[in-house]
Amino acid sequence: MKDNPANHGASLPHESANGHVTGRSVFIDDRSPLADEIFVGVVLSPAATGRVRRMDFSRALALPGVLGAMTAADIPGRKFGPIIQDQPLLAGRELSFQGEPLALLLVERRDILETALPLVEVDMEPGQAGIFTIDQAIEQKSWLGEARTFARGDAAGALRESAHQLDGSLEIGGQEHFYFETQAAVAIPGEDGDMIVHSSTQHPTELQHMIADHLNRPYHQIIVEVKRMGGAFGGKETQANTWGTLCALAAAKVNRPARLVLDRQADMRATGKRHPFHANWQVGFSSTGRLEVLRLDLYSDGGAFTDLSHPILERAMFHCTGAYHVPHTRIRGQVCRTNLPPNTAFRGFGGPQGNAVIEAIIEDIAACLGQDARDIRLANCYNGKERLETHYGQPVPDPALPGLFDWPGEAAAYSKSRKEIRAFNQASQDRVRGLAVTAVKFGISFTTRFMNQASALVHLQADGSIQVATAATEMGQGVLMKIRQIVAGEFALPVDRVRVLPTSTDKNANTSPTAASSGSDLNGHAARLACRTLKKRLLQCAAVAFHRGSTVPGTAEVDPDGEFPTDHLRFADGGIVDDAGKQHLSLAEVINFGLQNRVDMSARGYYRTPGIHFDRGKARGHPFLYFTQGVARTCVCIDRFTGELTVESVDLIMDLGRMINPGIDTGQVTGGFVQGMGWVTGEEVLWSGDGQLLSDAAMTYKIPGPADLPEHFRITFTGGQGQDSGLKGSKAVGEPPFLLGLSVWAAAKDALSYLQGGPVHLNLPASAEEILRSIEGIPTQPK
Amino acid sequence: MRDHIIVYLHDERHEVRGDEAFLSVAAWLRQRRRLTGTKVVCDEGDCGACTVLEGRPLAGSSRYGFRAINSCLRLMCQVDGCRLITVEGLRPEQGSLTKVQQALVDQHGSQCGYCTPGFVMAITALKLYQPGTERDEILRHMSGNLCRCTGYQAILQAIQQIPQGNDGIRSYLDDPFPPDQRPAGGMQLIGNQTRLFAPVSLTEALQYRADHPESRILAGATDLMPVKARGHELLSLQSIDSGNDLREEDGMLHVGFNVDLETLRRFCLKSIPAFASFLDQFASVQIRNVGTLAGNVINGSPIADTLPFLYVTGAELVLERAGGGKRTVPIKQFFTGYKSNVLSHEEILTAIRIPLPSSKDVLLLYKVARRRYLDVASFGAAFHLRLAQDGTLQKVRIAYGGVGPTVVHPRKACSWLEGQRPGVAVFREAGRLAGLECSPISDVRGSAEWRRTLSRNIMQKALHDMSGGSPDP
Repeated sequence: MKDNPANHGASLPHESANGHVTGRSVFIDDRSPLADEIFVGVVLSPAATGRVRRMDFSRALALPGVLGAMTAADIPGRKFGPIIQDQPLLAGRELSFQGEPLALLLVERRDILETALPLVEVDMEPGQAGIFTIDQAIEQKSWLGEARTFARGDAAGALRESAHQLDGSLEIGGQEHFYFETQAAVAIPGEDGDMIVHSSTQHPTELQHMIADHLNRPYHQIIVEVKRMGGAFGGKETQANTWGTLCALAAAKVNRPARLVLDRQADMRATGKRHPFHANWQVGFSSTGRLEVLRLDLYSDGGAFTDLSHPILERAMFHCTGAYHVPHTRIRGQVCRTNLPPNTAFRGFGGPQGNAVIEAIIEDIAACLGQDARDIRLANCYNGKERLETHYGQPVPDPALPGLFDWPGEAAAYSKSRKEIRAFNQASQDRVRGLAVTAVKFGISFTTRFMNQASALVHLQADGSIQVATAATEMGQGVLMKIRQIVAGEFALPVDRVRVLPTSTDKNANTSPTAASSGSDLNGHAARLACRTLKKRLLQCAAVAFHRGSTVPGTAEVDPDGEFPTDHLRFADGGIVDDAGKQHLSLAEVINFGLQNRVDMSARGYYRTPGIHFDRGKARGHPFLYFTQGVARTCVCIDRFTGELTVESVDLIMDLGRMINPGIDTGQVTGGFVQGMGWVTGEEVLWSGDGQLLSDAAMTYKIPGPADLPEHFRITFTGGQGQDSGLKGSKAVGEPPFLLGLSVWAAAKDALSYLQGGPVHLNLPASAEEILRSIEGIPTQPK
Repeated sequence: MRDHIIVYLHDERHEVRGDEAFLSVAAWLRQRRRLTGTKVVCDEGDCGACTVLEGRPLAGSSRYGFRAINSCLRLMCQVDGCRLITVEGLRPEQGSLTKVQQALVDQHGSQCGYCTPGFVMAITALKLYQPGTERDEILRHMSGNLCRCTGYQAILQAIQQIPQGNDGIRSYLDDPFPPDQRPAGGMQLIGNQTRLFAPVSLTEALQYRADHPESRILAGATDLMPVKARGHELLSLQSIDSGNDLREEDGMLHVGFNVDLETLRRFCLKSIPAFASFLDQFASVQIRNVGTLAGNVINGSPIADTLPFLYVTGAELVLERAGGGKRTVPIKQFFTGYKSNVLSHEEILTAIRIPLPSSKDVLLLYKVARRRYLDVASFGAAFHLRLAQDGTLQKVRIAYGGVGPTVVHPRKACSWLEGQRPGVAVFREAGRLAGLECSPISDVRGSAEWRRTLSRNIMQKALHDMSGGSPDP
């Protein structure tokens, strides 16, 4: 049985493209209000530390339309968290960060909150000074969990014996997700304690469990459904849980439908972001720039509660050698506890922070040796031969990277660009340009093994149309269209015969979040397996019908598991045909024939990623199914007087294998790169000295705008020579291009090294301010 | 006096009164009309997701002119006599999608979809009056719309493919108000906590101001956002035609109190091109379409984009009060401290008079911000000077924004430069002197240290730009 490739590789528009451009796509807050629906307002903590003595709701409750309030006393003793349960849903006495949810106000209409929320009086006693930076946390040994170490070879010895050593430190900033749709949920109580919750979440199952736990109800009473999210980027993997659960608690309390939608400022203040990191490193290398040893201490700012901080730090430790082979390593990682919102998943999941360290080191080695950084990168890149194995023991037998660095024309384009930049920088009085080509080798799989499983449910309807339900949630990344293409392709149908159902916990239970770039791989595989089961049954039915020359049900029923020969049959022309082309049945005819013969026309598919394992004690194993690889060659221009940076050109080359939908993948690559560019340049999360978020609005937090798009932006897909890959030869694309945003930062370092003639210290993000500080030689101020 | 506004939403006539008139257009659309295609993302004009089209009658025509606005920053009371078009109101001439929508679908210009309706409306506005195919033109026009998913490349490609035209809104271009039904006369809108008086003559407005000194004046209201506007006594000047006065006369540019920044930008393209191109960086098209120069002055932030320009050109402000009282105040004497000025509670700023720079003058305007477009400045600077025949600097006027409680005029640096020949050492010293005259603070837009460095370095940049930007290859 061969795949029909009809739909694989077609750049079909996003599943909801028409709905999006006409404004008809319904997001949580676009849902028509139900009769009796209430709105839920959240009181956020005004202080990062201290104790709540008393909360007085009397003035708020006196307002018409205010139905009630809820506090920690309504949910006694319970804490939550995806791995470690250390976070209260509503703070009781002890405050942990500014913006922490303290209480709920239940109101008839949302506009009442404008008046009612300020009337809630929170009487607090001040606490100890909070911890707001990694430095403060290190000083006070304020940790979340134990330190981890990945060691390989003899780091101390290799460091002594290396021809050259460099050391340095790097501050890596956080990043606000700035998903356009804020955290939102609608909870609808049903009969007998049942409840349906519509949420903007990447992880419906976890929300279902959390709601049930907090309501003390069995899981089977709660259904969480996700139609789509208005962006998520990891910010709704765990952190949608709070708001969905609070909404459900409010709905249960008054037994009325409830809606909770955070406003932008509340969302920014109350939710965690990308983890800031602090890195101290020592590196030993040969006179040709060959890496011998890396010693690295990574500290991440976990915020006040654990959330996903440990796997995020672990992924940073996996990715801190980037695309390069380092024979001896000693990588130590520690999550810090601060009085800031619990930091969480964000596209790349620690990978970008780890990768930043090694790309910075490469730039510094080049500046130190007076060699070109590209040569250093090529000299260290995995090559499938003597540079074969990662520092955690996973072989990279088939690395695409050397070929991507040396893609036809690349070397020439690089040296031409380098020459032009050198000439420009000698002549220019007001600007300086820089060039860098950086690489990504992103490990695909959840590093927590059990999460690498997925199920799917496929229904063949009697009219020949198909419904498919998986755990994949749509956040704009196009996973639903890819699944449609996969399913339609299996039956050789056009995609409009396949509908993907809203993701919900009653159609697939115990599911993993849509995260780790794995949405299409895991769920697409599961859907495909369900299709395989159904195809087998359909072929049996067709074979019998062709044999009998009739679809009139006979006395003897078709055995769906029968061994009737079907090799001469295939799916084509909207149904099943025989090779001779003489017999044809439409899909609807086969399905109906099957139903007449009592053949099940629904099937489940279940997929588990094969061959992945990792021994955390030894820090060795094979945690990833494969790597998604790519390079970016980027040229930037800096205004010497103001520090303002312009990204002038970007040439991206990625190996995404046999792409299911190149149009969607191109969008992921462009969008991921630009988001990464924002992280390393203008996006700066700023806190006051007492832990108040200062960049708490679009006015003060600046994501890239249209004019920041590089004038020259070219993407090349190599078509995949590699063996390792995911679904039907394609490769995961969600996170990897984000890491290539680092090429902008590396190019800025390169530009500054022209002014300073040696390694340049440049923290991340390289805002205009940070760049000018570097140009002027002003030491970094503690923030 | 009317107690309501009259507005057309697509083809539907609505009278809006009471508190409803003080809702933002976005809230009215989403909550009262259940049109949820218009999204609210930032609720402060900083993302463009709420962009809708606002139509107003074109002078001397029965046609409507449409422009993109941020519906989150627009109060219903401001759209009296307008026709609003949201994404739901678009009527494709062929098929089910307009050319703009189809191009976005074809080019994968939408991912999560939340910013998309705003883009659709902003692009529709762009294509209405311009070809919108040049990259720079597109990016300038679209800088008011943010997207977190696509990285913009696909959207840009889509825009470049769309022909100029009015697909989707052709049927709305005709004035929906027959001449005898055009909303006329003043309005008095009364809500629970908010009242608004919108007279048609300046005399009435001045009298109201005298009688209600606590009133707040409502112009474009892009700063006085909907939430802040509520609970006030508001005096709206929008219906006073004389406020649209915009002309050049006797070497002066006269800018009436109602003149919006986009109209001003276009008007200045010929006479003060440096200012016109500087205004490209002012907020976004959506905001410039409604925000006024007068509002930027009265807001009085030390980092207000236009203030350094107005300082170095020697602009004058015309302040009027009831009973014919009128005074002209040079802008340098207008501000008395952080966001405070000499305007009395009875006065209204009725015009700004800007001496037109002569062709011999050098005018250099700078805005340094975290993001080049759609951002509040971290630092601003304006240079206005003349190079005499003998190569010396004459009439040196410099003003800085963002380095003190009001605009800073670095006197010592100016007098140092006066009569000197431009050169690196001379300007470095000028930068040092200017730096000493600044008292920047650290805030979310940048540290004091950075601003101080900028106040020094900008001299070098001005020197470089003055000499024509060479010798870059």
